Amino acid sequence: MKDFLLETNVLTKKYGGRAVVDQVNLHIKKGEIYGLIGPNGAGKTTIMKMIAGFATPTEGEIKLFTDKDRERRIGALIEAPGIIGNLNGFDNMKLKALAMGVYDKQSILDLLNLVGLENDRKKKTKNYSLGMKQRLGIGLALIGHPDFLILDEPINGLDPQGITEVRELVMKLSKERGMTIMISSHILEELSKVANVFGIINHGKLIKELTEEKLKAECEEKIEIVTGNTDLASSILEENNYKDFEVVEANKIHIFGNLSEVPAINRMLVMRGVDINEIHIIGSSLENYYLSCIGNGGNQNV
Amino acid sequence: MFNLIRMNLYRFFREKGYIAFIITLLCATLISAIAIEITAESGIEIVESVDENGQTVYNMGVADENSDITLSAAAEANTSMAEIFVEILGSGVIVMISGIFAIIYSDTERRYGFVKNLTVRKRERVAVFAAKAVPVFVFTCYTMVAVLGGVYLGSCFTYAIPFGNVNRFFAYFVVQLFVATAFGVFSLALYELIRKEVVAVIIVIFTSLGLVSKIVQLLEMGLVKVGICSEAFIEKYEISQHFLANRSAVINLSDVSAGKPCALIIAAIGIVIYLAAGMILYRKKDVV
Ligand SMILES: Nc1ncnc2c1ncn2[C@@H]1O[C@H](COP(=O)(O)OP(=O)(O)O)[C@@H](O)[C@H]1O
Ligand SMILES: [Mg+2]
Repeated sequence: MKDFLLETNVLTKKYGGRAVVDQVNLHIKKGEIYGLIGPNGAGKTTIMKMIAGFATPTEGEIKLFTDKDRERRIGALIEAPGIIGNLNGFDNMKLKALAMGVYDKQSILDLLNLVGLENDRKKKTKNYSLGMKQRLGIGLALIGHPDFLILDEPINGLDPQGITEVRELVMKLSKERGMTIMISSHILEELSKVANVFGIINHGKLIKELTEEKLKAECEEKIEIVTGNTDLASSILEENNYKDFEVVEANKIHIFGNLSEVPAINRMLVMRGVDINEIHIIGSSLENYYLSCIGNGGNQNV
Repeated sequence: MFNLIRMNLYRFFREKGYIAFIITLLCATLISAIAIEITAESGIEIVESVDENGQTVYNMGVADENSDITLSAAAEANTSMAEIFVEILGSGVIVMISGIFAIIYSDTERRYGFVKNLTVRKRERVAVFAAKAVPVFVFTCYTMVAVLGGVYLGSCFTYAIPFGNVNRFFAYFVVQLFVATAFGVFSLALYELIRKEVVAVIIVIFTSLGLVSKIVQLLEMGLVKVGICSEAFIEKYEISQHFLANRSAVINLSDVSAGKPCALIIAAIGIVIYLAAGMILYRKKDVV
Protein backbone atom coordinates (compact mmCIF):
# COMPACT_ATOMS: atom_id res chain seq x y z
CA MET A 1 0.00 0.00 0.00
CA LYS A 2 2.60 2.51 1.09
CA ASP A 3 4.69 2.44 -2.05
CA PHE A 4 1.82 3.48 -4.28
CA LEU A 5 1.99 7.08 -5.30
CA LEU A 6 -1.54 7.05 -6.56
CA GLU A 7 -4.35 4.77 -5.79
CA THR A 8 -7.98 5.08 -6.71
CA ASN A 9 -10.71 3.35 -4.85
CA VAL A 10 -13.91 2.49 -6.77
CA LEU A 11 -13.51 5.72 -8.65
CA THR A 12 -16.73 6.45 -10.53
CA LYS A 13 -17.95 9.31 -12.66
CA LYS A 14 -21.47 9.54 -13.96
CA TYR A 15 -22.78 11.93 -16.58
CA GLY A 16 -26.52 12.06 -16.62
CA GLY A 17 -26.81 8.80 -14.73
CA ARG A 18 -24.50 6.89 -17.09
CA ALA A 19 -21.24 5.73 -15.52
CA VAL A 20 -18.44 6.65 -17.94
CA VAL A 21 -15.88 5.64 -15.34
CA ASP A 22 -17.04 2.66 -13.39
CA GLN A 23 -15.48 1.61 -10.08
CA VAL A 24 -11.91 1.88 -11.20
CA ASN A 25 -9.07 0.84 -8.88
CA LEU A 26 -5.79 2.08 -10.27
CA HIS A 27 -2.39 1.62 -8.70
CA ILE A 28 0.62 3.68 -9.70
CA LYS A 29 4.00 3.36 -8.02
CA LYS A 30 6.53 6.12 -7.69
CA GLY A 31 8.77 6.48 -10.72
CA GLU A 32 6.58 4.40 -12.97
CA ILE A 33 5.39 5.30 -16.41
CA TYR A 34 1.82 4.12 -16.28
CA GLY A 35 0.12 3.62 -19.62
CA LEU A 36 -3.63 3.89 -19.66
CA ILE A 37 -4.93 2.23 -22.76
CA GLY A 38 -8.42 1.94 -24.13
CA PRO A 39 -10.47 2.72 -27.21
CA ASN A 40 -12.06 6.12 -27.80
CA GLY A 41 -14.75 6.84 -25.27
CA ALA A 42 -13.42 4.30 -22.78
CA GLY A 43 -13.12 6.94 -20.09
CA LYS A 44 -9.37 7.62 -20.10
CA THR A 45 -9.73 11.38 -20.24
CA THR A 46 -12.38 11.36 -17.57
CA ILE A 47 -10.16 9.38 -15.20
CA MET A 48 -7.31 11.78 -15.80
CA LYS A 49 -9.53 14.82 -15.32
CA MET A 50 -10.56 13.50 -11.95
CA ILE A 51 -7.00 12.73 -10.90
CA ALA A 52 -5.87 16.17 -11.99
CA GLY A 53 -8.76 17.71 -10.07
CA PHE A 54 -10.67 19.20 -13.00
CA ALA A 55 -13.70 17.04 -12.43
CA THR A 56 -15.28 15.80 -9.25
CA PRO A 57 -15.79 12.06 -8.86
CA THR A 58 -19.37 10.96 -8.42
CA GLU A 59 -18.19 8.19 -6.13
CA GLY A 60 -14.98 6.73 -4.85
CA GLU A 61 -11.75 8.42 -3.93
CA ILE A 62 -8.31 9.24 -5.20
CA LYS A 63 -5.40 8.83 -2.84
CA LEU A 64 -2.33 10.71 -3.87
CA PHE A 65 0.58 11.81 -1.65
CA THR A 66 -0.81 13.74 1.21
CA ASP A 67 -3.80 15.80 0.27
CA LYS A 68 -2.14 19.06 1.17
CA ASP A 69 0.50 19.33 -1.51
CA ARG A 70 -1.32 17.21 -4.01
CA GLU A 71 -2.03 19.84 -6.63
CA ARG A 72 1.37 21.49 -6.67
CA ARG A 73 2.90 18.21 -7.57
CA ILE A 74 0.63 17.27 -10.43
CA GLY A 75 1.20 18.62 -13.90
CA ALA A 76 -1.40 17.72 -16.47
CA LEU A 77 -1.87 17.90 -20.19
CA ILE A 78 -5.40 16.73 -20.77
CA GLU A 79 -6.90 16.65 -24.23
CA ALA A 80 -5.89 19.77 -26.18
CA PRO A 81 -3.21 21.86 -24.52
CA GLY A 82 -4.79 24.90 -22.87
CA ILE A 83 -3.14 27.70 -24.73
CA ILE A 84 -4.40 31.06 -25.90
CA GLY A 85 -3.82 31.32 -29.64
CA ASN A 86 -3.38 35.07 -29.67
CA LEU A 87 -0.47 34.92 -27.29
CA ASN A 88 3.00 33.63 -27.95
CA GLY A 89 4.47 30.53 -26.34
CA PHE A 90 6.38 32.40 -23.71
CA ASP A 91 3.38 34.45 -22.61
CA ASN A 92 1.23 31.35 -22.32
CA MET A 93 3.84 29.83 -20.03
CA LYS A 94 4.18 33.05 -18.09
CA LEU A 95 0.44 33.27 -17.50
CA LYS A 96 0.34 29.88 -15.90
CA ALA A 97 3.41 30.61 -13.81
CA LEU A 98 1.91 33.91 -12.67
CA ALA A 99 -1.34 32.22 -11.72
CA MET A 100 0.59 29.66 -9.69
CA GLY A 101 2.77 32.34 -8.16
CA VAL A 102 6.00 30.74 -9.35
CA TYR A 103 6.96 33.06 -12.18
CA ASP A 104 10.65 33.19 -12.91
CA LYS A 105 11.80 34.06 -16.39
CA GLN A 106 14.80 31.77 -16.44
CA SER A 107 12.92 28.67 -15.38
CA ILE A 108 10.37 29.25 -18.13
CA LEU A 109 13.12 29.62 -20.68
CA ASP A 110 14.63 26.40 -19.37
CA LEU A 111 11.34 24.59 -19.78
CA LEU A 112 10.86 25.94 -23.29
CA ASN A 113 14.33 24.72 -24.01
CA LEU A 114 13.49 21.31 -22.63
CA VAL A 115 10.46 20.94 -24.89
CA GLY A 116 12.39 22.37 -27.83
CA LEU A 117 10.45 25.58 -28.30
CA GLU A 118 13.07 28.14 -27.30
CA ASN A 119 13.31 29.46 -30.85
CA ASP A 120 9.56 29.69 -31.34
CA ARG A 121 8.73 31.26 -28.03
CA LYS A 122 7.87 34.62 -29.58
CA LYS A 123 5.58 33.16 -32.21
CA LYS A 124 1.84 33.31 -31.68
CA THR A 125 0.70 29.87 -30.64
CA LYS A 126 -2.13 29.81 -33.17
CA ASN A 127 0.59 29.51 -35.78
CA TYR A 128 2.18 26.54 -34.04
CA SER A 129 2.04 23.11 -35.59
CA LEU A 130 0.13 20.42 -33.75
CA GLY A 131 3.36 18.93 -32.47
CA MET A 132 4.59 22.28 -31.20
CA LYS A 133 1.30 22.90 -29.43
CA GLN A 134 1.53 19.51 -27.83
CA ARG A 135 5.07 20.16 -26.67
CA LEU A 136 4.05 23.54 -25.30
CA GLY A 137 1.27 21.72 -23.48
CA ILE A 138 3.85 19.46 -21.88
CA GLY A 139 5.92 22.53 -21.04
CA LEU A 140 2.88 24.06 -19.35
CA ALA A 141 2.31 20.88 -17.40
CA LEU A 142 5.89 21.03 -16.15
CA ILE A 143 5.61 24.48 -14.60
CA GLY A 144 6.06 24.42 -10.86
CA HIS A 145 8.19 21.25 -10.87
CA PRO A 146 5.50 18.63 -10.49
CA ASP A 147 6.67 15.15 -9.69
CA PHE A 148 3.61 13.50 -11.16
CA LEU A 149 2.81 14.18 -14.76
CA ILE A 150 -0.45 13.31 -16.51
CA LEU A 151 -0.38 13.20 -20.30
CA ASP A 152 -3.62 12.46 -22.09
CA GLU A 153 -3.04 11.11 -25.61
CA PRO A 154 0.02 13.32 -26.10
CA ILE A 155 0.84 11.73 -29.44
CA ASN A 156 -2.63 11.89 -30.88
CA GLY A 157 -2.54 13.37 -34.35
CA LEU A 158 1.22 13.81 -34.45
CA ASP A 159 3.40 12.77 -37.36
CA PRO A 160 6.03 10.07 -36.79
CA GLN A 161 8.71 12.62 -35.99
CA GLY A 162 6.44 14.36 -33.50
CA ILE A 163 5.65 11.03 -31.91
CA THR A 164 9.32 10.25 -31.51
CA GLU A 165 10.00 13.66 -29.99
CA VAL A 166 7.26 13.31 -27.42
CA ARG A 167 8.33 9.77 -26.60
CA GLU A 168 11.92 10.84 -26.07
CA LEU A 169 10.81 13.73 -23.90
CA VAL A 170 8.74 11.43 -21.74
CA MET A 171 11.63 8.99 -21.33
CA LYS A 172 13.94 11.84 -20.45
CA LEU A 173 11.61 13.23 -17.81
CA SER A 174 11.25 9.83 -16.28
CA LYS A 175 14.94 9.03 -16.31
CA GLU A 176 16.50 12.38 -15.50
CA ARG A 177 13.92 13.82 -13.16
CA GLY A 178 12.52 10.64 -11.73
CA MET A 179 9.01 11.78 -12.52
CA THR A 180 6.06 9.49 -12.22
CA ILE A 181 4.13 9.70 -15.45
CA MET A 182 0.66 8.60 -16.40
CA ILE A 183 0.14 8.54 -20.12
CA SER A 184 -2.89 7.49 -22.12
CA SER A 185 -3.35 6.31 -25.67
CA HIS A 186 -5.60 4.17 -27.77
CA ILE A 187 -2.62 2.63 -29.53
CA LEU A 188 -0.95 -0.03 -27.40
CA GLU A 189 1.90 -0.33 -29.87
CA GLU A 190 3.00 3.24 -29.16
CA LEU A 191 2.33 3.09 -25.48
CA SER A 192 4.35 -0.08 -25.11
CA LYS A 193 7.45 1.81 -26.20
CA VAL A 194 7.37 4.10 -23.18
CA ALA A 195 5.24 2.69 -20.42
CA ASN A 196 6.30 0.06 -17.95
CA VAL A 197 2.93 -0.65 -16.41
CA PHE A 198 -0.33 -0.85 -18.28
CA GLY A 199 -3.94 -0.37 -17.35
CA ILE A 200 -6.42 -1.56 -19.93
CA ILE A 201 -9.77 0.15 -19.81
CA ASN A 202 -12.98 -0.29 -21.74
CA HIS A 203 -16.49 1.05 -21.20
CA GLY A 204 -15.30 2.82 -18.08
CA LYS A 205 -14.09 -0.36 -16.42
CA LEU A 206 -10.47 -1.21 -15.69
CA ILE A 207 -10.11 -4.63 -17.27
CA LYS A 208 -6.53 -5.42 -16.41
CA GLU A 209 -3.45 -3.94 -14.82
CA LEU A 210 -0.19 -5.54 -15.81
CA THR A 211 3.51 -4.85 -15.90
CA GLU A 212 5.66 -4.60 -18.97
CA GLU A 213 7.09 -8.10 -18.39
CA LYS A 214 3.68 -9.55 -17.91
CA LEU A 215 2.44 -7.92 -21.07
CA LYS A 216 5.42 -9.19 -23.01
CA ALA A 217 4.77 -12.66 -21.70
CA GLU A 218 1.11 -12.44 -22.59
CA CYS A 219 1.96 -11.42 -26.10
CA GLU A 220 4.88 -13.76 -26.60
CA GLU A 221 4.16 -16.59 -28.97
CA LYS A 222 3.80 -19.87 -27.13
CA ILE A 223 2.35 -23.31 -27.51
CA GLU A 224 -1.03 -23.78 -25.96
CA ILE A 225 -2.20 -27.26 -25.14
CA VAL A 226 -5.77 -27.96 -24.15
CA THR A 227 -6.10 -31.30 -22.41
CA GLY A 228 -8.16 -32.99 -19.75
CA ASN A 229 -5.08 -34.32 -17.98
CA THR A 230 -2.75 -31.44 -17.21
CA ASP A 231 -1.04 -33.26 -14.31
CA LEU A 232 0.17 -36.11 -16.43
CA ALA A 233 1.09 -33.78 -19.27
CA SER A 234 3.14 -31.61 -16.90
CA SER A 235 5.14 -34.50 -15.55
CA ILE A 236 5.82 -35.79 -19.05
CA LEU A 237 7.00 -32.36 -20.14
CA GLU A 238 9.30 -32.11 -17.14
CA GLU A 239 10.75 -35.55 -17.78
CA ASN A 240 11.56 -34.45 -21.32
CA ASN A 241 13.37 -31.30 -20.26
CA TYR A 242 10.73 -28.75 -21.14
CA LYS A 243 11.32 -26.37 -18.21
CA ASP A 244 9.56 -23.26 -19.39
CA PHE A 245 5.89 -24.03 -19.20
CA GLU A 246 2.96 -23.07 -17.08
CA VAL A 247 -0.42 -24.55 -16.28
CA VAL A 248 -2.60 -21.48 -16.82
CA GLU A 249 -6.01 -22.98 -16.41
CA ALA A 250 -7.41 -26.32 -15.27
CA ASN A 251 -7.16 -27.67 -18.79
CA LYS A 252 -4.59 -25.38 -20.37
CA ILE A 253 -0.82 -25.48 -20.52
CA HIS A 254 1.42 -22.87 -22.07
CA ILE A 255 4.88 -23.82 -23.26
CA PHE A 256 7.30 -21.00 -23.99
CA GLY A 257 9.97 -21.18 -26.65
CA ASN A 258 10.38 -24.44 -28.64
CA LEU A 259 7.79 -23.19 -31.10
CA SER A 260 8.99 -25.50 -33.86
CA GLU A 261 8.44 -28.59 -31.73
CA VAL A 262 4.66 -28.71 -31.81
CA PRO A 263 4.54 -32.05 -33.71
CA ALA A 264 7.13 -33.66 -31.45
CA ILE A 265 5.42 -32.57 -28.26
CA ASN A 266 2.08 -33.67 -29.61
CA ARG A 267 3.39 -37.11 -30.53
CA MET A 268 5.14 -37.55 -27.22
CA LEU A 269 2.08 -36.68 -25.13
CA VAL A 270 -0.32 -38.80 -27.18
CA MET A 271 2.01 -41.77 -27.00
CA ARG A 272 2.01 -41.54 -23.21
CA GLY A 273 -1.78 -41.57 -23.14
CA VAL A 274 -2.57 -37.87 -22.74
CA ASP A 275 -5.68 -36.89 -24.66
CA ILE A 276 -4.99 -33.69 -26.59
CA ASN A 277 -8.03 -31.62 -27.41
CA GLU A 278 -6.10 -28.81 -29.03
CA ILE A 279 -2.51 -27.87 -29.59
CA HIS A 280 -1.49 -24.71 -31.34
CA ILE A 281 0.63 -21.58 -31.23
CA ILE A 282 -1.03 -18.53 -29.70
CA GLY A 283 -0.15 -14.94 -28.91
CA SER A 284 0.95 -12.51 -31.53
CA SER A 285 1.03 -8.75 -31.76
CA LEU A 286 0.34 -6.40 -28.88
CA GLU A 287 -2.56 -5.01 -30.80
CA ASN A 288 -4.19 -8.43 -31.07
CA TYR A 289 -3.68 -9.03 -27.41
CA TYR A 290 -5.24 -5.67 -26.63
CA LEU A 291 -8.18 -6.37 -28.91
CA SER A 292 -8.75 -9.68 -27.25
CA CYS A 293 -8.83 -7.94 -23.87
CA ILE A 294 -11.39 -5.35 -24.83
CA GLY A 295 -13.30 -7.56 -27.23
CA ASN A 296 -13.39 -6.56 -30.84
CA GLY A 297 -16.54 -4.51 -30.41
CA GLY A 298 -14.66 -2.06 -28.24
CA ASN A 299 -14.28 0.59 -30.84
CA GLN A 300 -17.89 0.81 -31.83
CA ASN A 301 -19.25 1.89 -28.53
CA VAL A 302 -18.33 5.53 -28.20
CA MET B 1 -5.75 35.69 -5.39
CA PHE B 2 -3.08 38.30 -5.93
CA ASN B 3 -1.29 35.94 -8.29
CA LEU B 4 -4.45 35.40 -10.27
CA ILE B 5 -5.09 39.13 -10.55
CA ARG B 6 -1.55 39.65 -11.80
CA MET B 7 -2.05 36.90 -14.32
CA ASN B 8 -5.36 38.36 -15.50
CA LEU B 9 -3.94 41.83 -15.93
CA TYR B 10 -0.95 40.49 -17.82
CA ARG B 11 -3.26 38.55 -20.06
CA PHE B 12 -5.55 41.54 -20.56
CA PHE B 13 -2.74 43.74 -21.78
CA ARG B 14 -1.01 41.07 -23.83
CA GLU B 15 -4.13 39.99 -25.67
CA LYS B 16 -4.11 43.00 -27.91
CA GLY B 17 -7.68 42.50 -29.11
CA TYR B 18 -9.16 44.26 -26.10
CA ILE B 19 -6.95 47.30 -26.46
CA ALA B 20 -7.69 47.35 -30.17
CA PHE B 21 -11.38 47.36 -29.35
CA ILE B 22 -10.94 50.31 -27.01
CA ILE B 23 -9.07 52.26 -29.66
CA THR B 24 -11.76 51.46 -32.22
CA LEU B 25 -14.33 52.65 -29.74
CA LEU B 26 -12.44 55.89 -29.33
CA CYS B 27 -12.60 56.48 -33.06
CA ALA B 28 -16.29 55.59 -33.18
CA THR B 29 -16.99 57.97 -30.34
CA LEU B 30 -15.02 60.65 -32.08
CA ILE B 31 -17.25 60.34 -35.11
CA SER B 32 -20.51 60.28 -33.18
CA ALA B 33 -19.34 63.14 -30.98
CA ILE B 34 -18.67 65.22 -34.06
CA ALA B 35 -22.12 64.34 -35.33
CA ILE B 36 -23.74 65.27 -32.03
CA GLU B 37 -21.85 68.52 -31.83
CA ILE B 38 -22.79 69.51 -35.34
CA THR B 39 -26.50 68.85 -34.77
CA ALA B 40 -26.28 70.57 -31.41
CA GLU B 41 -24.97 73.68 -33.12
CA SER B 42 -27.92 73.86 -35.42
CA GLY B 43 -30.19 72.52 -32.68
CA ILE B 44 -31.25 75.97 -31.56
CA GLU B 45 -32.96 76.64 -34.84
CA ILE B 46 -34.70 73.26 -34.91
CA VAL B 47 -36.03 73.64 -31.38
CA GLU B 48 -37.16 77.13 -32.08
CA SER B 49 -39.09 76.20 -35.15
CA VAL B 50 -40.77 73.37 -33.31
CA ASP B 51 -41.74 75.81 -30.61
CA GLU B 52 -43.22 78.26 -33.03
CA ASN B 53 -45.18 75.71 -34.96
CA GLY B 54 -46.39 74.05 -31.78
CA GLN B 55 -47.57 75.98 -28.75
CA THR B 56 -45.94 79.37 -28.55
CA VAL B 57 -47.71 80.89 -31.44
CA TYR B 58 -51.19 80.15 -30.22
CA ASN B 59 -50.87 80.38 -26.47
CA MET B 60 -48.44 83.14 -25.59
CA GLY B 61 -47.32 84.81 -28.69
CA VAL B 62 -44.98 87.20 -26.84
CA ALA B 63 -42.70 85.09 -24.75
CA ASP B 64 -39.93 85.40 -27.26
CA GLU B 65 -37.26 86.57 -24.90
CA ASN B 66 -38.07 84.03 -22.21
CA SER B 67 -38.09 81.10 -24.54
CA ASP B 68 -34.86 82.30 -26.07
CA ILE B 69 -33.15 82.16 -22.71
CA THR B 70 -34.36 78.70 -21.83
CA LEU B 71 -33.53 77.44 -25.25
CA SER B 72 -29.99 78.70 -25.26
CA ALA B 73 -29.49 77.37 -21.75
CA ALA B 74 -30.68 73.95 -22.87
CA ALA B 75 -28.51 74.12 -25.95
CA GLU B 76 -25.54 75.03 -23.83
CA ALA B 77 -26.11 72.09 -21.48
CA ASN B 78 -26.46 69.77 -24.41
CA THR B 79 -23.23 70.79 -25.92
CA SER B 80 -21.08 70.36 -22.82
CA MET B 81 -18.68 67.48 -23.15
CA ALA B 82 -20.04 65.90 -20.00
CA GLU B 83 -23.56 65.84 -21.45
CA ILE B 84 -22.42 64.28 -24.69
CA PHE B 85 -20.50 61.72 -22.70
CA VAL B 86 -23.63 60.78 -20.77
CA GLU B 87 -25.66 60.71 -23.95
CA ILE B 88 -23.30 58.23 -25.56
CA LEU B 89 -22.80 55.98 -22.55
CA GLY B 90 -26.34 55.96 -21.20
CA SER B 91 -29.13 53.91 -22.73
CA GLY B 92 -27.32 50.70 -21.96
CA VAL B 93 -24.24 51.06 -24.11
CA ILE B 94 -21.63 50.92 -21.40
CA VAL B 95 -23.23 48.01 -19.55
CA MET B 96 -23.53 46.15 -22.81
CA ILE B 97 -19.87 46.65 -23.65
CA SER B 98 -18.80 45.62 -20.19
CA GLY B 99 -21.04 42.55 -20.26
CA ILE B 100 -19.92 41.40 -23.68
CA PHE B 101 -16.30 41.84 -22.70
CA ALA B 102 -16.85 39.70 -19.61
CA ILE B 103 -18.31 36.92 -21.72
CA ILE B 104 -15.65 37.00 -24.43
CA TYR B 105 -12.94 37.09 -21.80
CA SER B 106 -14.41 34.08 -20.01
CA ASP B 107 -15.03 32.20 -23.21
CA THR B 108 -11.49 32.66 -24.51
CA GLU B 109 -10.27 31.04 -21.34
CA ARG B 110 -12.59 28.10 -21.76
CA ARG B 111 -12.61 27.63 -25.51
CA TYR B 112 -8.87 27.17 -25.71
CA GLY B 113 -8.87 25.14 -22.52
CA PHE B 114 -6.62 27.71 -20.91
CA VAL B 115 -8.71 27.39 -17.77
CA LYS B 116 -7.03 24.02 -17.23
CA ASN B 117 -3.84 25.86 -16.45
CA LEU B 118 -5.30 28.01 -13.77
CA THR B 119 -6.01 25.80 -10.86
CA VAL B 120 -7.14 22.44 -9.76
CA ARG B 121 -7.70 23.21 -6.12
CA LYS B 122 -11.38 23.37 -5.40
CA ARG B 123 -10.99 26.12 -2.90
CA GLU B 124 -8.90 28.13 -5.33
CA ARG B 125 -11.43 27.85 -8.12
CA VAL B 126 -13.42 30.50 -6.32
CA ALA B 127 -10.52 32.92 -6.66
CA VAL B 128 -10.13 32.10 -10.35
CA PHE B 129 -13.64 33.37 -10.88
CA ALA B 130 -13.37 36.41 -8.64
CA ALA B 131 -10.08 37.55 -10.16
CA LYS B 132 -11.81 38.04 -13.49
CA ALA B 133 -13.73 40.97 -12.05
CA VAL B 134 -10.49 42.95 -12.15
CA PRO B 135 -10.01 42.94 -15.93
CA VAL B 136 -13.73 43.67 -16.29
CA PHE B 137 -13.29 46.74 -14.11
CA VAL B 138 -10.15 47.83 -15.95
CA PHE B 139 -11.75 47.31 -19.32
CA THR B 140 -14.87 49.26 -18.37
CA CYS B 141 -12.75 52.09 -17.03
CA TYR B 142 -10.61 52.23 -20.19
CA THR B 143 -13.73 52.16 -22.33
CA MET B 144 -15.18 55.13 -20.51
CA VAL B 145 -11.91 57.02 -20.76
CA ALA B 146 -11.79 56.23 -24.47
CA VAL B 147 -15.31 57.61 -24.93
CA LEU B 148 -14.33 60.75 -23.05
CA GLY B 149 -11.25 61.02 -25.23
CA GLY B 150 -13.39 60.68 -28.34
CA VAL B 151 -15.74 63.41 -27.16
CA TYR B 152 -12.79 65.67 -26.38
CA LEU B 153 -11.15 65.10 -29.74
CA GLY B 154 -14.51 65.63 -31.39
CA SER B 155 -14.69 69.09 -29.93
CA CYS B 156 -11.18 69.78 -31.16
CA PHE B 157 -12.28 68.95 -34.67
CA THR B 158 -15.54 70.91 -34.59
CA TYR B 159 -15.65 73.86 -32.21
CA ALA B 160 -14.69 74.46 -28.61
CA ILE B 161 -17.38 73.47 -26.16
CA PRO B 162 -17.32 73.71 -22.38
CA PHE B 163 -16.49 70.63 -20.37
CA GLY B 164 -19.42 71.09 -18.01
CA ASN B 165 -19.43 70.70 -14.24
CA VAL B 166 -16.31 68.72 -13.37
CA ASN B 167 -17.54 67.50 -10.00
CA ARG B 168 -20.80 66.25 -11.41
CA PHE B 169 -19.02 64.63 -14.26
CA PHE B 170 -16.64 62.90 -11.91
CA ALA B 171 -19.47 61.65 -9.72
CA TYR B 172 -21.30 60.34 -12.76
CA PHE B 173 -18.15 58.68 -14.07
CA VAL B 174 -17.48 56.82 -10.84
CA VAL B 175 -21.07 55.70 -10.33
CA GLN B 176 -21.46 54.57 -13.94
CA LEU B 177 -18.14 52.76 -13.76
CA PHE B 178 -19.26 50.74 -10.79
CA VAL B 179 -22.72 50.06 -12.14
CA ALA B 180 -21.24 48.82 -15.41
CA THR B 181 -18.64 46.74 -13.60
CA ALA B 182 -21.40 45.17 -11.54
CA PHE B 183 -23.18 44.31 -14.76
CA GLY B 184 -19.93 42.83 -16.04
CA VAL B 185 -19.71 40.65 -12.95
CA PHE B 186 -23.29 39.59 -13.59
CA SER B 187 -22.22 38.60 -17.10
CA LEU B 188 -19.27 36.60 -15.76
CA ALA B 189 -21.65 34.65 -13.55
CA LEU B 190 -24.14 34.28 -16.39
CA TYR B 191 -21.42 32.80 -18.55
CA GLU B 192 -20.49 30.27 -15.90
CA LEU B 193 -24.12 29.29 -15.65
CA ILE B 194 -24.64 28.55 -19.34
CA ARG B 195 -21.08 28.34 -20.69
CA LYS B 196 -22.20 29.14 -24.21
CA GLU B 197 -20.79 32.30 -25.67
CA VAL B 198 -23.48 33.20 -28.19
CA VAL B 199 -26.39 32.54 -25.88
CA ALA B 200 -24.75 34.54 -23.11
CA VAL B 201 -24.03 37.46 -25.41
CA ILE B 202 -27.63 37.53 -26.62
CA ILE B 203 -28.92 37.54 -23.07
CA VAL B 204 -26.51 40.33 -22.16
CA ILE B 205 -27.59 42.44 -25.12
CA PHE B 206 -31.28 42.04 -24.32
CA THR B 207 -30.71 42.69 -20.65
CA SER B 208 -28.67 45.79 -21.25
CA LEU B 209 -31.33 47.14 -23.60
CA GLY B 210 -33.80 46.93 -20.75
CA LEU B 211 -35.75 44.00 -22.09
CA VAL B 212 -35.73 42.17 -18.78
CA SER B 213 -37.26 45.12 -16.98
CA LYS B 214 -39.89 45.36 -19.69
CA ILE B 215 -40.74 41.73 -19.05
CA VAL B 216 -40.91 42.38 -15.33
CA GLN B 217 -43.23 45.33 -15.97
CA LEU B 218 -45.47 43.14 -18.06
CA LEU B 219 -45.54 40.56 -15.30
CA GLU B 220 -46.40 43.29 -12.81
CA MET B 221 -49.24 44.49 -14.98
CA GLY B 222 -50.44 40.94 -15.23
CA LEU B 223 -50.31 40.52 -11.48
CA VAL B 224 -52.36 43.69 -11.00
CA LYS B 225 -54.91 42.60 -13.56
CA VAL B 226 -55.35 39.20 -12.00
CA GLY B 227 -55.63 40.94 -8.65
CA ILE B 228 -52.77 39.27 -6.83
CA CYS B 229 -51.37 42.62 -5.78
CA SER B 230 -52.36 46.25 -6.01
CA GLU B 231 -50.88 48.90 -8.24
CA ALA B 232 -49.77 50.85 -5.21
CA PHE B 233 -47.83 47.85 -3.95
CA ILE B 234 -45.96 47.52 -7.21
CA GLU B 235 -45.28 51.22 -7.42
CA LYS B 236 -43.93 51.15 -3.90
CA TYR B 237 -41.29 48.58 -4.72
CA GLU B 238 -40.65 49.28 -8.38
CA ILE B 239 -38.53 46.21 -8.81
CA SER B 240 -37.21 46.99 -12.24
CA GLN B 241 -35.66 50.26 -11.21
CA HIS B 242 -33.20 48.28 -9.13
CA PHE B 243 -31.85 46.53 -12.18
CA LEU B 244 -28.32 47.42 -13.07
CA ALA B 245 -29.07 48.05 -16.73
CA ASN B 246 -31.93 50.36 -15.79
CA ARG B 247 -29.90 52.29 -13.32
CA SER B 248 -27.12 52.73 -15.77
CA ALA B 249 -29.57 54.20 -18.26
CA VAL B 250 -31.36 56.61 -15.92
CA ILE B 251 -28.51 58.10 -13.94
CA ASN B 252 -27.38 61.44 -15.29
CA LEU B 253 -25.25 64.42 -14.42
CA SER B 254 -27.83 66.08 -12.22
CA ASP B 255 -28.87 62.88 -10.47
CA VAL B 256 -26.22 60.21 -10.13
CA SER B 257 -28.37 58.17 -7.80
CA ALA B 258 -31.70 58.21 -9.67
CA GLY B 259 -33.81 56.51 -7.06
CA LYS B 260 -33.45 54.81 -3.74
CA PRO B 261 -31.19 53.17 -2.73
CA CYS B 262 -28.59 55.12 -4.62
CA ALA B 263 -26.96 53.65 -7.70
CA LEU B 264 -23.65 53.01 -5.96
CA ILE B 265 -25.33 50.82 -3.37
CA ILE B 266 -27.19 48.95 -6.09
CA ALA B 267 -23.85 48.39 -7.83
CA ALA B 268 -22.19 47.23 -4.62
CA ILE B 269 -25.00 44.80 -3.84
CA GLY B 270 -24.93 43.58 -7.42
CA ILE B 271 -21.20 42.95 -7.31
CA VAL B 272 -21.49 41.02 -4.06
CA ILE B 273 -24.45 38.92 -5.17
CA TYR B 274 -23.13 38.06 -8.61
CA LEU B 275 -19.62 37.42 -7.36
CA ALA B 276 -21.00 35.03 -4.79
CA ALA B 277 -23.27 33.33 -7.30
CA GLY B 278 -20.46 32.99 -9.83
CA MET B 279 -18.05 31.66 -7.23
CA ILE B 280 -20.50 29.02 -6.10
CA LEU B 281 -21.18 27.97 -9.69
CA TYR B 282 -17.51 27.91 -10.55
CA ARG B 283 -16.71 25.81 -7.58
CA LYS B 284 -19.54 23.39 -8.09
CA LYS B 285 -19.15 22.71 -11.76
CA ASP B 286 -16.36 20.68 -13.24
CA VAL B 287 -13.57 22.81 -14.64
CA VAL B 288 -13.66 20.97 -17.95
N1 LIG C 1 -18.81 16.41 -19.87
C1 LIG C 1 -19.37 15.28 -20.32
N2 LIG C 1 -20.70 15.13 -20.34
C2 LIG C 1 -21.28 13.99 -20.76
N3 LIG C 1 -20.60 12.94 -21.21
C3 LIG C 1 -19.27 13.00 -21.22
C4 LIG C 1 -18.57 14.18 -20.78
N4 LIG C 1 -17.25 13.94 -20.91
C5 LIG C 1 -17.12 12.71 -21.40
N5 LIG C 1 -18.32 12.14 -21.60
C6 LIG C 1 -18.56 10.78 -22.11
O1 LIG C 1 -17.79 9.90 -21.35
C7 LIG C 1 -17.28 8.86 -22.15
C8 LIG C 1 -15.79 8.75 -21.93
O2 LIG C 1 -15.16 9.86 -22.45
P1 LIG C 1 -13.60 10.09 -22.35
O3 LIG C 1 -13.19 9.99 -20.93
O4 LIG C 1 -13.29 11.37 -23.04
O5 LIG C 1 -13.02 8.86 -23.19
P2 LIG C 1 -11.57 8.67 -23.79
O6 LIG C 1 -10.69 9.76 -23.31
O7 LIG C 1 -11.14 7.33 -23.29
O8 LIG C 1 -11.72 8.66 -25.26
C9 LIG C 1 -17.66 9.17 -23.56
O9 LIG C 1 -18.72 8.35 -23.92
C10 LIG C 1 -18.07 10.61 -23.53
O10 LIG C 1 -19.10 10.85 -24.45
MG1 LIG D 1 -9.72 11.15 -24.44
